[in-house]
Amino acid sequence: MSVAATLLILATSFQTVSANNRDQAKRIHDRLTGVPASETLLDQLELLVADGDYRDAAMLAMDQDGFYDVTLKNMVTPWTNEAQDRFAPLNDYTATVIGMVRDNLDFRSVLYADLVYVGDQSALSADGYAIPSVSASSNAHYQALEEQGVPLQSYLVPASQTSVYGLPAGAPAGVLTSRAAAKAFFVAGTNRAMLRFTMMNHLCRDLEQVKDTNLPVDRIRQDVSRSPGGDSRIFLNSCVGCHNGMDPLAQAFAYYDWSGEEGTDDGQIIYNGAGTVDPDTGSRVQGKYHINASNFPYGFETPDDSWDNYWRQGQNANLGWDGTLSGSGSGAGSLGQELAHSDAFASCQAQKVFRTVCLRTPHSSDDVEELERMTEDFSSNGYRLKDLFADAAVYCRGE
Amino acid sequence: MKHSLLMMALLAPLLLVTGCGGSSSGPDVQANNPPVDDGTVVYSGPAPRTADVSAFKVNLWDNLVSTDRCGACHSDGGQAPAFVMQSDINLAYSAANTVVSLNNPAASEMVIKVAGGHNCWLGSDVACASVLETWISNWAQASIGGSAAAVSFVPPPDREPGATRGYPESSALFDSYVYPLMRNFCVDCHQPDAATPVQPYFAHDNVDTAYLAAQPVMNLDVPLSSRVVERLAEDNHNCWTDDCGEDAEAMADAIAAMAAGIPLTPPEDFLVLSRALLLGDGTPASGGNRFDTNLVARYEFRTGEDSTAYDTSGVEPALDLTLSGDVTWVDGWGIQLAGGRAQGSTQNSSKLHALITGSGEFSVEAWVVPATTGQMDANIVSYSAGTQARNVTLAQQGSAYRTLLRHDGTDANGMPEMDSAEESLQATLQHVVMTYSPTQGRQLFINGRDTGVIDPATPDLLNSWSDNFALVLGNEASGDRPWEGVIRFVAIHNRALSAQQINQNFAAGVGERSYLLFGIGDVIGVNDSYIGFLVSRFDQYSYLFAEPFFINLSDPLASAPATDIEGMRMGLNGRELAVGQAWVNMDTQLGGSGYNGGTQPLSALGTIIPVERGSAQDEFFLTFARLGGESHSYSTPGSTPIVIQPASEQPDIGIRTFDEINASMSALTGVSIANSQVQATFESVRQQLPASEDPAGFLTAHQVGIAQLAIEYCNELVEQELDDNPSSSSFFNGLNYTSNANSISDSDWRNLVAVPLAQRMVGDMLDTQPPLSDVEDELVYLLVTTDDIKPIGSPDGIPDGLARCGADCPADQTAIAVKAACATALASATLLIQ
Repeated sequence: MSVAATLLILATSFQTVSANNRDQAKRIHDRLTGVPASETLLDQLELLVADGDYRDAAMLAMDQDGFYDVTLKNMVTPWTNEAQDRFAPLNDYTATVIGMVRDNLDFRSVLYADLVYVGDQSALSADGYAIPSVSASSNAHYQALEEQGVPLQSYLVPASQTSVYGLPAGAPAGVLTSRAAAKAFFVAGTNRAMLRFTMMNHLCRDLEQVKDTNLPVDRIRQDVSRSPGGDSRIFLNSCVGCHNGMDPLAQAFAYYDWSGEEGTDDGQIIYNGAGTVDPDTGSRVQGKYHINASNFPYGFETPDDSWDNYWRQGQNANLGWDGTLSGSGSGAGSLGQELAHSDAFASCQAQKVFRTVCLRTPHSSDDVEELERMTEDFSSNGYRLKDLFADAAVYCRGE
Repeated sequence: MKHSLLMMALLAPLLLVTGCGGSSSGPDVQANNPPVDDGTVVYSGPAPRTADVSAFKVNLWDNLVSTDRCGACHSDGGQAPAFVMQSDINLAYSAANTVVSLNNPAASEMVIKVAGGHNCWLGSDVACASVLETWISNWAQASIGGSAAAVSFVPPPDREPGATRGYPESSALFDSYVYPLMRNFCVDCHQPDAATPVQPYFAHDNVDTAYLAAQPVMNLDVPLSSRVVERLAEDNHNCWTDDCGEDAEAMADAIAAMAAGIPLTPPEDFLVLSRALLLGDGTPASGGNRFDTNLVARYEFRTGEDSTAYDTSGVEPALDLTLSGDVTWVDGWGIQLAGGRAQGSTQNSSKLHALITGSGEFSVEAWVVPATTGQMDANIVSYSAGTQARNVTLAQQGSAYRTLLRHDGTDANGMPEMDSAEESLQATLQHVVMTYSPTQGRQLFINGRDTGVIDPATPDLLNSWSDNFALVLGNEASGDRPWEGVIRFVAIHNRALSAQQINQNFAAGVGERSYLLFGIGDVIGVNDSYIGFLVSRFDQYSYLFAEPFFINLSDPLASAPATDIEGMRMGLNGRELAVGQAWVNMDTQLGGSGYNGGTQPLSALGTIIPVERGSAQDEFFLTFARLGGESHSYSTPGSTPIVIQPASEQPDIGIRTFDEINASMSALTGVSIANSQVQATFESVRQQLPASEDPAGFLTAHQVGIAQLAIEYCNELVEQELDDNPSSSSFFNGLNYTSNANSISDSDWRNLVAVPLAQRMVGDMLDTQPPLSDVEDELVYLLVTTDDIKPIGSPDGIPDGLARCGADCPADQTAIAVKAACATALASATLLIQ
């Protein structure tokens, strides 16, 4: 009873007061790492803040393990599964983002690089960790890293998906072809989920926000009913608005599939490489792209993995597509580049980081201006995610 | 009694004919449909000179010769043409050929005449025409192996695209009439800054942006057909008063008022246009390529009125169905069922018994649109008496089709059932066929494909079928197995259709189909040049335009040089459609040296376009970005820049989430998160800890989980210290765990335990944390208070302080008290809030 009563007293005795230099240093650290700083570190941070070197304080905080093991991990984990579960185990998708941030890579390549971060097996063994090898068919490697409290910034090393997962050249597309993403978004279905969740996680838009009924319908696949429940108005007023843009983009994933059953952890990414003939389609296209083709035989029949970005026309031109790219291509890699090189991608990263660090969305005109400034800096300084974290931590350090 | 005798007389020859083919083995029996024997006409003239004349007699003449059909007029000495003259079947044949098209039975003058109201012998001209078409098709099948060997395209009428109202560039009219309603009543969702933004953003705070977004959901020509009106009127979609009808009317009135300010204008001169067409201008293409040789009952739902669905199989007696309950006609041939049913009489239904038990095999074929995939025990087609007795039933079972069949190997209710796979039934138009033969048992085909489901019952004879059951669509005879959806076609065959025949019927499609030929001769400079489409009524609300082709109908064939065709768009009632354009990206050529007449495919795609004024009035045309030497440059409307609007005020602080709490406790206590005890506790409470930083979402359960984890961390902290050196703590410098708790002074508890705990867990010199002295006081009170108020209501005479026992404490009480004080500080809001 004493413990509970005291907990209550302590909890209710908390008051919000103005922050001094030490408070600001503490907030910068805590928001970036998720954990309180040691006295020594807090002293260092306080000195930097006192000198107005807020950004240096933020960069120092980001050297701490908590930034990678807690803050980044928890920000990214919901992107890696369909339920957006924050409690999901560490996986290759999350580890790759963490590694890219640590190494200050151009974050746009997260959607198209032949890259996956893995635990450095020799270093781990040397330091007494017993971690299973990375595998295309198991997440045990990453799960063990998390369970054993391995400081990720110290042990993650970059590798290629072609070497780790055996994907053929041309198949890797950053985290889109990570094991976690494939398991979540290539399993069963029609692979449209991969586009939808990539839009949600990296352009901060669900399909509802990019709905445009005025675009051509020539690439909407045969499986989409033009008369759901016998009412074609539903198609013309609703379905068409997403499928007309989504289907020609999601065609980029036509050669991918997931081998496992939905709801299970087993399985690995499948890619129909050159020369592969899928028995259902007679081409490299996965059979799932032709399922329910009789729903509307006059719909589009996917012949390959070429994609076109219809959203470059119409209202979604405001997503800021890269004028140096063509808006068309083949395969997931070039699609990932198309998405990642949009203004919406950069803005979305800024929004996510702002939310993570400031614990809220922008709620004033000052906040919105800061968000825009963060986006501009991010875009003009090599798309390093750490810059966004530093900017947000400085802005939300308290007054 | 007299009627019954007549029925027996009618059915007897059927039994005789069909009884010969009881097995499905061997080649298919080419069973012609039985002639109508009216009991009065017996042909005694010259024998048919050819097999074709004989086929004419069996399939058409015999069915029309009676005086209650065509025999009263078109016979010997009567009105020309005398296609049912009784004196010479060969002359009748010659006369019939002047009004019959075997290549396109639907286009036969005889059929068109009857459809137009010429002496129909049934209650519906449409039904008479349909039956007549069936008989001619049967003749064609016997004579030339099927109809529609080639469609005879006829040049359509020449029409200018009509005038319509286009949206003015200025949003002023919209702002005056429609925008106020949308802005006032739709702003909670239909604008980008709504809590849950829903497109289209016609309630955008920028009226020009809202105007652009609203255009696709308004219909200036038919305001009541505006989507935004239909949503209110039909779906009760977020009405702003208690009366959705009034709200819909208000919206329609506003659109009408806006439309009144916009003059009717013909399509813009700068557009590259085809000629215009109505649906009725097409060349019929329906029905010619189905396999219907063994029909015994067929429902096409062509009439669209009254309460009878006619059996147009041509096999008598006609098993017409009476519509009752909630059943409505669907434009484009079909009925919509919502609890009602279409049921035939038991007496007429008995023809199914007679013809199917005679052959021992059958097929039930239907084009259906289930309303949802959640319907269970919902009968679509059933020949039965109630829930416990049936001959055969095709039903919906969730997302699967279910078949029940009575035979000598199943029970009287047709069990065991045979279901297709889950999710094989979808809430869209599907062609489903159940076949049965004594060799194959039941087979189920969906959209032309064999589902592969194995009949769980061993096939057997149909001797146990009852002739007292009724054919019912959309329900059970007892009315308690309702099915909701649209039935657009049902056919019952007394043979098991082969996979090829089923595929043929699936490919033939459903509903009225025709070819519309849009004239482009004046644009490309080659007379009689057209772009054709296969067109049909897709459902109640739209048309299907598919597989465009080029054709030149000049005779002799004119040379059509290779002509560029780009960016083809559909136009409806004077304006280009905003939604559903499928050939905008077309970039090909028509004609050319390889074109030698006939149809030249341009695309395999199809699209649906909305019904606006109705089948009789909707006028279609095409436009082109380029056609030959003429072109029009289309520009796409610009997009509105994305502006992030500030959200509502939110707290500046938040709470730590699960992993942050775990890592923070590890950092503050120095106990590794990989510690097995800690890890086990964390795993057990992980999902109980806060998942969101939002303080408003903090719950009592969160605090309980936090306390549990804090206790574990503090327990491990102290236990590790005890393992290392119990007499000299490193965390609580100077504390000796082996000292009795009661003998440690108040000041030592403060200085050795409370102070380091507060400094480490709360932090010093922080204005955003509570004063350390306050925290220390709370901890000291917890440890050494001599107050005695617990247990509440019945104090036990022992001080409440954890380190105060009235006398010596138990030996481990010092460690216990330290753990408790540690957990108290660690689990507090000073750690939780960031």
